[in-house]
Amino acid sequence: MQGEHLENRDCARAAEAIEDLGDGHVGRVRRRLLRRHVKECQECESYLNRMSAVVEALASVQAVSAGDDFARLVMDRLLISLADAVIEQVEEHRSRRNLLWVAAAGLGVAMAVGLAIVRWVLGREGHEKLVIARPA
Amino acid sequence: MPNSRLSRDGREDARLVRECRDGDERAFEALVVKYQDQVFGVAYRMVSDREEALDVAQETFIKAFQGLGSYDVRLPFRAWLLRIGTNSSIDHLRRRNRSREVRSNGQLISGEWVAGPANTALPFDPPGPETDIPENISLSKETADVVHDALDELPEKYKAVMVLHHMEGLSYSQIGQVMGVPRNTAKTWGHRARGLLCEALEGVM
Repeated sequence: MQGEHLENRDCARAAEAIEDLGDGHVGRVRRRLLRRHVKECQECESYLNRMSAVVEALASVQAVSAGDDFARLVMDRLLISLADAVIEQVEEHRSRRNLLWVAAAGLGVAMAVGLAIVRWVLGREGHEKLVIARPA
Repeated sequence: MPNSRLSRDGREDARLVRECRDGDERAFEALVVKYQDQVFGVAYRMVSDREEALDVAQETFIKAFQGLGSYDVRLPFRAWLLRIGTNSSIDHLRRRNRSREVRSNGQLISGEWVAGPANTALPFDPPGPETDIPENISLSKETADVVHDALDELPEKYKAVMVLHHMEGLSYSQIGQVMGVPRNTAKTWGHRARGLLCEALEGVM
C-alpha cells in the first residue's frame, strides 16, 4: 500500500487489520470496523481484495504425497550411504597402513645408505692410515 | 524435556528416536513413514519439481539419521526434521538456476497441485487464516497463477514461511522453531512475503 495513503490513521489501522486477517487473527470488533472502512476507502478495499486472493490462492493447493515406495527408497539410500562410509573407513585405514610401510621402508633405506656412507668413509680413512703407516 | 510434558505424539517420537539411537532401523523407518508426506510437501512447494523434491526429501531423512546423535529432544522432532527439510530446500534453490516452466495447462507435473478444495485439517492446530472474501471476488485461474508465479520469485526464507504457514498449516511459533528464528521474526517475514504477493496482484485486481 502507498505510504501517503497510510498516513491516514484509519487506513493505517485498516492495513494492519488486513495483514492480521491474512493470519486469521482479527477480532469481531476490528473486523466490523474494517468492513465499515473499506466501504468508504477504495484503496483499502482493493488491498483487502488482493490479500484475500493471496490467502485463498495459497490455501487452495491440494495435499501431495511422497508415494508408497518413498520409505523403501530412503532406507535403500541410507544403506548405501552407510556402506560407503564403511568402505571409506577401510580405505582410509588401508592407506594409513600403506603409508606406515612406506615410511618404514624409507627409514630402512635411509639407514642402509647411511651405514654404507659411514663404511665408505671409515674404509677410506683406514686405507689412508695404512698408506701412511706402510714403510717405503 | 521430561516425557510427561510431551504430547502423545511427542512421546512416540521420543521413543522412536531412542530406538533409532540404539540401532533399530525399523524405528527410523517408522519415522520416515510418519513424516514423509510433510517433508515431501515442503520440499515440493519450495522447489516446484517432483523429482527434485523427492531427492531433497530423501536427503532430508538421510541428514536426520546422520544427525540423530546431536538432536536435542527439547525441540519437537517434527520441527527439527522440517528445519532440515526447509534448509535443504533452500540450499537446493540456491544451487539451481531457476527459469523452469512449472505449470502446464494450469497443473504442475504429477504433483497434483491444482486449484482445488483447501487442505483438510491437520492433527496439530493450524492457524487457519480466515478472510472476508468480498462477494464479488472469486479466485480466477489467472489470479492464482499470478500468486504462484510471484511465490516462486520470493526470497527463499519468505517463500519458506508462506509454504509452512499457508500450505502446511504451521503457526508462527512453530515456524520459528523450524527456521531457528524468534516467532516475531517469522511473523514479520510472513507479512512481508504476503505484502510482496499482494503487490504482484496490483494491476490484475
